[in-house]
Amino acid sequence: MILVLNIIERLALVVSRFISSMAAIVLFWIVAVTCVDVIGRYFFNAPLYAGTELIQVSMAGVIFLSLPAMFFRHDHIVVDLFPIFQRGYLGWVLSIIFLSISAYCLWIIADKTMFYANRSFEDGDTYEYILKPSFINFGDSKFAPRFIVETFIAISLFFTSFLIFLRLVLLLSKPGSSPEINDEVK
Amino acid sequence: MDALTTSFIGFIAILILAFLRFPLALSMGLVGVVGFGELSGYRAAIANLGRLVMDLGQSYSLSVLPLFILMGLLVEKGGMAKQLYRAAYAFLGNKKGGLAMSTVVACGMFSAISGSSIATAATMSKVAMPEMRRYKYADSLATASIAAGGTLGILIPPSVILVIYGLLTEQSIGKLFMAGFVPGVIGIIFYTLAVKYVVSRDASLGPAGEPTEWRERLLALKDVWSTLGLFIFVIGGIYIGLFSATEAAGMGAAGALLITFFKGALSRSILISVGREASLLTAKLFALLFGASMFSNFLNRAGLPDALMGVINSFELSGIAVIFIILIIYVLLGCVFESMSMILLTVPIFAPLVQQLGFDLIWFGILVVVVTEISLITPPIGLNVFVLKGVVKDVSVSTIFKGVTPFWVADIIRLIIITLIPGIALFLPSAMF
Repeated sequence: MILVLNIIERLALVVSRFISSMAAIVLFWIVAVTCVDVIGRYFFNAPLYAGTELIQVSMAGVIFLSLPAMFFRHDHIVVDLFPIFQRGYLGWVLSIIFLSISAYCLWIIADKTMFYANRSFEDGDTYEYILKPSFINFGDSKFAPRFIVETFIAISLFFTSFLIFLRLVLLLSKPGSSPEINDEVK
Repeated sequence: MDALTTSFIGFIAILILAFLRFPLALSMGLVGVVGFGELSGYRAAIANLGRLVMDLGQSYSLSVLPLFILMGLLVEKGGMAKQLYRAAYAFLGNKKGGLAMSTVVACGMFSAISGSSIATAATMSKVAMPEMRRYKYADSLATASIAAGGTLGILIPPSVILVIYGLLTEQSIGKLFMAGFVPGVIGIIFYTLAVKYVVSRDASLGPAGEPTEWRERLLALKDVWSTLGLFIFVIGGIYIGLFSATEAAGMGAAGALLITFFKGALSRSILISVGREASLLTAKLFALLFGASMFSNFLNRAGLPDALMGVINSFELSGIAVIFIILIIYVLLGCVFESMSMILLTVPIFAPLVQQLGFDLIWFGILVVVVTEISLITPPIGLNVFVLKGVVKDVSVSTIFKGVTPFWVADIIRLIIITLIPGIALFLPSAMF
């Protein structure tokens, strides 16, 4: 059983590192889009078409591709005033409570965002400038539908909730252990 | 239950959760949802949070955060800290306490690009500490000048904390950056005077280094022109209206990428690792923003700003007295909270009140950041002191805190001056194009 859990942990680590690398690529893409927009505007009198909306969409990419990795690595901003709450069985119990609450909250938020994505799909909401790629067959509008990014956000939150649940199971299998992962991004 | 009691319970709940080491984002979000839910129903609270995550997660103006973080990380990797230190040393190193002064000036310049106090303190400690040890500087002065100099990172633009403050209070990030510049420069001057004061009492604490010839000084300046150029390009661009803050951040990140590349410090693996680090930091900050926004919605729904105003009216306090009370609360909170947590927790409470009192929120933002800087070197939490301790392991925390005292006093004087003369902070933003 422990062997299976260890394999799952390694797999989840690999997946979370892969998607955080994708977030890095999206971040460099935002840099490129901003530069093309500014240089195009000042030197060629031609700002990038739909530049603002492209950055909005890309921001969702950076944040929601990094969120699962962040939660899986237990990489949060915490107030470290009383180390007693971090160590030993007390730390372990508190971590289990925290992970349970986190997984539940993330699931609720994911469910709500999926509801918004569904409503966006039914209402046929589209972006104002980003054009619809030719392979997407959705509605009569020539603009890209919003539900794709919104569904992506919901899926990311569901996946984050799943990863937290996985971390919870791993923690339960190792009584007294710490939830932090010493997996420096290399 | 009245608004004050409801909000107070919420605040205490966050403190308890935070001290139990619950992540701050979750603590604030949870209290926000439960508080809002009790007042308006849980369906409304969850709908509110869901919409908030959707909107903030696709915000154009918030893209300034990952871009400035990326720029700072690239500058760190580019080894620019060493060159900045060498340039500052060339001009100040031959004076008594000159290396500590050089450290403060280099910290100020490095933080201008990196935007992070912790990164500044951690990076500069590796560069400046060996030099100061070589010249037999007292550990107290050497470590304190780095810890204090590092705090400038959150005030001198571009600053991640100012961006967060701007988003919480809906103020122009460009104007906040401009407002932070002069108080930041005053900070460098005051810290330099603090070093002068320390060595005037006991010259053996900071012996003078070797004098540098003008030719070498100019050569040292040649090494830092690209870093200074990047700063002038980014901040100057915002000032003259060439870019918005978001565009400046994007151009700054591209500039830092080019500088690092031409310095030969950029490999594929560094590029990916910096990108990952910046993305993960962004996710951490956004998780905090989601939580803080939900907490702020709860406080507004509870009617805290009006209730606080009622309390102030009943005590017949003047506006400036209220500001000083708020600043004292910040100094006290700074003893137990780190900077970002403190800002996210308190700005939603105090900013509406300050606005109702008729004060400028840009000026208040600078006060908040200066007082937060003070918290970075205030015992027992003083984050920068612990960053230093992490790098310079053979110096005790008490030695660093002892050395930091003159810098702390200099900070308090600066805070009082900026509070009493708002023009110091508001001069540049009012002259913006």
